[in-house]
Amino acid sequence: MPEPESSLRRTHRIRLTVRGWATLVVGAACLVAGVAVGRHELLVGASFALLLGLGGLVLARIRRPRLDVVRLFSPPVVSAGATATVSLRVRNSGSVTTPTLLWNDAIPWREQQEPNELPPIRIRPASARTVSLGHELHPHRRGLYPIGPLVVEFGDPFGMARSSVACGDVDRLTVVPAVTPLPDGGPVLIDGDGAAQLVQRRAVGNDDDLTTREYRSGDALRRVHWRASARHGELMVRQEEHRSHPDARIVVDTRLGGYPDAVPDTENWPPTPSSEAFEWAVRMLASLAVHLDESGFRVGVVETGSPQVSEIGERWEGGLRIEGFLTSLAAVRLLDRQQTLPTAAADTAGPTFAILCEPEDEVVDWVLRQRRPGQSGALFSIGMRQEARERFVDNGWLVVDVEPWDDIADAWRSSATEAGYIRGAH
Amino acid sequence: MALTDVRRPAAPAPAPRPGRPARRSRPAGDRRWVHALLVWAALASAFAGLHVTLQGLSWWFVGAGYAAAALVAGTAARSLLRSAFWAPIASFLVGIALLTLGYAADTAILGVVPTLDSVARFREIAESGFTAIVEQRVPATPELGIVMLLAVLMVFCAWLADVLLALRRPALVALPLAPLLLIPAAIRPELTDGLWFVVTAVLYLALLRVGARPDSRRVVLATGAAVVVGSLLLPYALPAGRDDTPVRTGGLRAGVNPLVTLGDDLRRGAPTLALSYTTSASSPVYLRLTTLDNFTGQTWGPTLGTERASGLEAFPDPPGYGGAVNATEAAVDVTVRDLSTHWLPLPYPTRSVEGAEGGWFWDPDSLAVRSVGDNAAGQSYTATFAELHPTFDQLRESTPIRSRVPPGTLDLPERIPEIITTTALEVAGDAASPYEQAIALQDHLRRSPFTYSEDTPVAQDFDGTGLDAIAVFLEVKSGYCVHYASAMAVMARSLGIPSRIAVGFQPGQRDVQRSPAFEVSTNDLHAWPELYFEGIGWLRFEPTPGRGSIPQYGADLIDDPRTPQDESSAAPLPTSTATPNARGDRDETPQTPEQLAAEQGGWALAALGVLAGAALVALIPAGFRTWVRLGRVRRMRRGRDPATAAWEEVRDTARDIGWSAPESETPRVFAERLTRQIRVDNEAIGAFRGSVESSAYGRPDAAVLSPEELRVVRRVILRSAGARTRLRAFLLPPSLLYRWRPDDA
Repeated sequence: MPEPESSLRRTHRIRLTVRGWATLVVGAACLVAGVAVGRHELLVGASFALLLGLGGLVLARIRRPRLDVVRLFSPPVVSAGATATVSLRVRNSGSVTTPTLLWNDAIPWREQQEPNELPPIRIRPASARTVSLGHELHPHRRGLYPIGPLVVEFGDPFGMARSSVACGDVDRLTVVPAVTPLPDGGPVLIDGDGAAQLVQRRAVGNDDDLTTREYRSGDALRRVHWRASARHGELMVRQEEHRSHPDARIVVDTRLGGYPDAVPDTENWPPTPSSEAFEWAVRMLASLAVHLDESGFRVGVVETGSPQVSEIGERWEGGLRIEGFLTSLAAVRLLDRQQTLPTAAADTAGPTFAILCEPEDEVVDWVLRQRRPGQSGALFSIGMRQEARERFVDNGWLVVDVEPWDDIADAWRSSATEAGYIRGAH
Repeated sequence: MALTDVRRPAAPAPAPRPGRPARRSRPAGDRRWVHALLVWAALASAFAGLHVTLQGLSWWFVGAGYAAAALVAGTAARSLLRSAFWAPIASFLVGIALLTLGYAADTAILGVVPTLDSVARFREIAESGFTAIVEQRVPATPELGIVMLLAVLMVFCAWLADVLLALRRPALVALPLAPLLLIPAAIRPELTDGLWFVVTAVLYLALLRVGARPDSRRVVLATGAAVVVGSLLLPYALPAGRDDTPVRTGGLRAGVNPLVTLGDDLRRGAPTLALSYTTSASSPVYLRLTTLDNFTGQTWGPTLGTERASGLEAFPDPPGYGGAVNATEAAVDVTVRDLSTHWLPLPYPTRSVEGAEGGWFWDPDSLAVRSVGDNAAGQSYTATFAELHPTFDQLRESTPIRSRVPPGTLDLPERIPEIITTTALEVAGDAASPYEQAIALQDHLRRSPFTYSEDTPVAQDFDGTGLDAIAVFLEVKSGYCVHYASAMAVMARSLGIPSRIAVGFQPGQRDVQRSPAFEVSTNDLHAWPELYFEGIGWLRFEPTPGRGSIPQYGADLIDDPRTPQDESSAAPLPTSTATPNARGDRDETPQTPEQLAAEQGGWALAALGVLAGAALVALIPAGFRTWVRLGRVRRMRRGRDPATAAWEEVRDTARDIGWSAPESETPRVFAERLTRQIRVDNEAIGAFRGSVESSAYGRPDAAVLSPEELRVVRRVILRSAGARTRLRAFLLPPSLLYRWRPDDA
């Protein structure tokens, strides 16, 4: 993206309207005729038309407003398909009252935008210099979008010329993939080892999980829990549960070669290959990762391309860790470059999920190696070719066939059905 | 598109959507009527600009009324009918129906539905209108034909404007407006009335605002005023704008009625050679184009007979000529040069013409020779004519016989201005015979108070041959041949002498001394009266002082002591090489002391004006500053935040004399700074600061901050500066600059 200061961007532009052009042409014709014939009346008419046209042009130039724009998004990070409210604080930093303006915020995607009218901003009193505007955005795709600058348009009173000016800077709006809450139950929750991890996971709870027990000799004094001791009448010490987080891995294909439906995107800048299947994969990745994280797993995301997704952070980071992860997902792109696949971490336990579309054979092999023997593996296959799919089935993977327009939660539920573990209300 | 196309080609630029629903709160129907009213006003004012070409006001009411009817019909149809398609048709039909009702009601079904007869009637009226336009001079009489043509024009213009407005193309309303405004300009240069241009331009600009975005009223008004005023002034700055005099190339044109443009032709700057002739007659001859005997009260017109194939070899006897009058045959060889007309310049009474090419024919009453398709330009021909020599007795004894008077040559309108009849009776009432009466009239008009001037009638706006023009002319006693001829002809008719006006050329002058050839230029274009005497026929008279030659009928009257001798051209024997076309009013070197003094006075005035203008310009900043101050005082008086107003004024005063006064300073801090610098009269500042604070922060009803206090503090602050600083603060107050660039202070 060119920098806002780049010379490639024009910040203002004046143009004559059709009416203005016609007026100028008529005026020039009258002038020529008037000079040729020597008729005063024609010259008066010519002057009228020329003054009208050129005056409009001059007016459109000298009335150009100087505006400072501050743009705020609410919420600051919005998920795709949701509505973001943009509030603009516009300050008239010029020395004259602005004309009546039509304004639009430049947005990078196609969205029906009605030009809004902005009544004149006066310069006195000082409180009148600033006005608040607002509009809503409806981003329908994840991504990092430049919003702005504020484009204002105005003209002369008689409609001869129009001038448009770009005011203020470009602000970045982060549109994260929509996270679908997944119902409990699914193919993950059981693996070959039985329910041990499950129980443990239940006990993990949250960060402030504290229990106390009676003091035993050898306990460090600093572990004494004085309040509990006072309540119990004997020394009590804090007992910290051993936290164990089972691992879960999500393998996602980010290679361009794995998505035959990828087409160059004309809507976003810079143009990147966009693929409906990949978008579904990202949505699934986001929902699944959040769901697994909430279920107590430590989620690792493995990409076939160079790593783009940041880890879901440590638990002590609180709510922001999810946000960082989702923000990195907002920017995930299909990568063209081939590179060697990372070697599979052979000792990782826990279930493995794969979201693949039409992976190369090399990727298929690699994904198959990601699952440790005995652990469960589930594949969300977005229209995978038959032989590759057969390989996963033969290797004992649970294969769920989905289409790019399928609902995430439905896919999740059908995976549970497939696995034969429907539980609960869902 | 403009801003975002580099980065994102598809981003929509803010552009008004077509057909956006009305934003204003007023319902669409209301605005429609307002717009129709605007359009009507613009059309009516452009139409009113025609007042320079037409007399009276009736035509305006008719045209504006028809325009209003068409507009009302269109707007009403648009309000009532759902489909916008029918509105133009409705307004068109209403216009046609009303035109039919007004001009051809008896031929139409129910008076409004035109039939084939109505079409024929319209064509008839239109033809008469076109004829009237061609024949009449400006300002023309609004005859039925002209008014109907104007009504049709206005209906069409209104219909067009209505359609254009409905199509949301208000700017195109200039299409009907501009031609209306240009009509006077097309008729004659410098005829257009600037006032109606201004009114129309203002209304047109108002039309342009139709459907436009709301804008600051001040900017709209200022822009509009600048455009309108600028368009009036700018042409003078344009190189061609000054050279405004109509440069007409080509020669003289004489239309069906040469009288119409006679004044203009006389007033044109460079004379050209119209024709030349040699003659065997005893005196230089008057060459007639035609005669005008049809007087309507407004103008003289020719009576055009039907075309006939008559040879020019033999002309009929002149009407009224009895054989008793002594006549000698004479010949004249005429070569027409730069004259374009369908009339053949001939002496009267013509006996025969040889050498003229084309389909020429004579009119039996006037003996004028005209052609329908052929032009006199370049013709060379020989005409023989009779020089009449009636004796004084014959002239005196000639009495008009009612039955033999040529038809129409005694007709006068019903009401004649009193001054015409009284003057005629005063001058010639006691003369014994019609001929003596005629001589008396001629002498009266040639005598001293009457002067020849081609410009006075134009300047005093009575240029014309109608009764009103004659009445004014008899009072002003200044005019040119048209007025003299018309006045004498009308007075003669009022005395019972048949009369008509001849239009043609006075004799012209010899090209070189004693040469037989005479040259007649466009300046020799002339009009004179001809009076009818039974048994003698039509005799020309010359009432115009300084022009032509007085005809010498009845030799014994030449010595009449009443005949003025002061005219150079009134030589008793016209055979001399008199130069009858001397034009006294063309003398352009008036160097009398009074005029010189006036000229110098003018220079002084101009210098004073320039000085005053410069002073005014220099005072603009001071005026603006005063305006700002008075505005603040007004705010204080009205009690609208008086503390802020007063304090802003004090700060600006401080800035004026060069002190800093940042916005961030509180009144208290600022006042302390002031009191440290101004040692004199600190109490005033302190008290004022107290008032400002109590007014700003105290109870609302406790606010007592009088402009008087402000005045005192201002004086204190200004006195602290030197005289020069104060003068500068007055003429170029820095606080004004601060108003525009607050960041620099």
